[in-house]
Amino acid sequence: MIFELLLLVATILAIAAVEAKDMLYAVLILGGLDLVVAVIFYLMAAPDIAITQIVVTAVFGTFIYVVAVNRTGRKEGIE
Amino acid sequence: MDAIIKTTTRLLVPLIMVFGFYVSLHGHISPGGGFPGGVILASAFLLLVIAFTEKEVEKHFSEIKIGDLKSVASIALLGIVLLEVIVRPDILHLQTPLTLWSGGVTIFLNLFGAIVVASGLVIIVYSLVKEEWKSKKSKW
Amino acid sequence: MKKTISIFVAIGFFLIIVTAVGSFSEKKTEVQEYYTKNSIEKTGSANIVNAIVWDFRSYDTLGEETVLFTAIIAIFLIAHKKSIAEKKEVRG
Repeated sequence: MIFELLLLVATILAIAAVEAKDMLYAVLILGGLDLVVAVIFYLMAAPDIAITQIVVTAVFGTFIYVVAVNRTGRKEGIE
Repeated sequence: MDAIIKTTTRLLVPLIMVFGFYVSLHGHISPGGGFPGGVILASAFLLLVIAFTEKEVEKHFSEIKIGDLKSVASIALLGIVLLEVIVRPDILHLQTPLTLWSGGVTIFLNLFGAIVVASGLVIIVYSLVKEEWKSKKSKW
Repeated sequence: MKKTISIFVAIGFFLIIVTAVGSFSEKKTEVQEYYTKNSIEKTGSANIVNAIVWDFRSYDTLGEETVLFTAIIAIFLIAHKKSIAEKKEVRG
């Protein structure tokens, strides 16, 4: 039951990250999505992949996305 | 950044580094291993770079030294892998499982792999953040 | 709104395909049995993922670290183009 619930939460977060107007909020929602995916990996008995998912994607991916947003601007679309 | 973030960073960075070394050194017993341990070590440096200013970080870190560390760790990794293939030290495999020295040369491979990954990611983070520091538009 | 609906349709197709294919790793291979039986005796490490990555497949991990090392050297050279050129000018 909790597994399907987490899958649903991950889907909703992914759609919210696509639909967000502010790019910084989209990056933060993507970090939350990575945490949910890490919990799903842990429930599927793969703690190695869960640790790697949290550390690489939720920390370093978010950092690189924040640097990219800082250089290109927070508003969506071409100015 | 303000004083709260700086104080919290001063408290947290040694703990994160200890956790990274724990994950990489206990890789053959508990979940983890060289790659996640190295990335945790690099994330400690990431927190440091975000919280402090340019001068405070550059007082203690010089990236040339980090590059040297990475080269030495890579050569050590190559040497240990070749040693394991050629010599095959069976003495280290005789310990009982679930103790610290049970994995043979796996513990050294984990440690040096963690150092390679950590120094590489530190170089990436440092290059990106230095560009941000140089540009006048940034808010960091 | 059109985008959201198209995303939902894509997710639905993906789930249909995944459930039609079935579970992924039903077939057992010789390598799998060898690793699961002999990992503790041969390597002594209780974590089987680590035993495979750092002991059975050491050469692959070494190649992976080589790829990482090459990428880091390229990033280092691109990021420090200016300072390297200045050093060359100073030396003549």
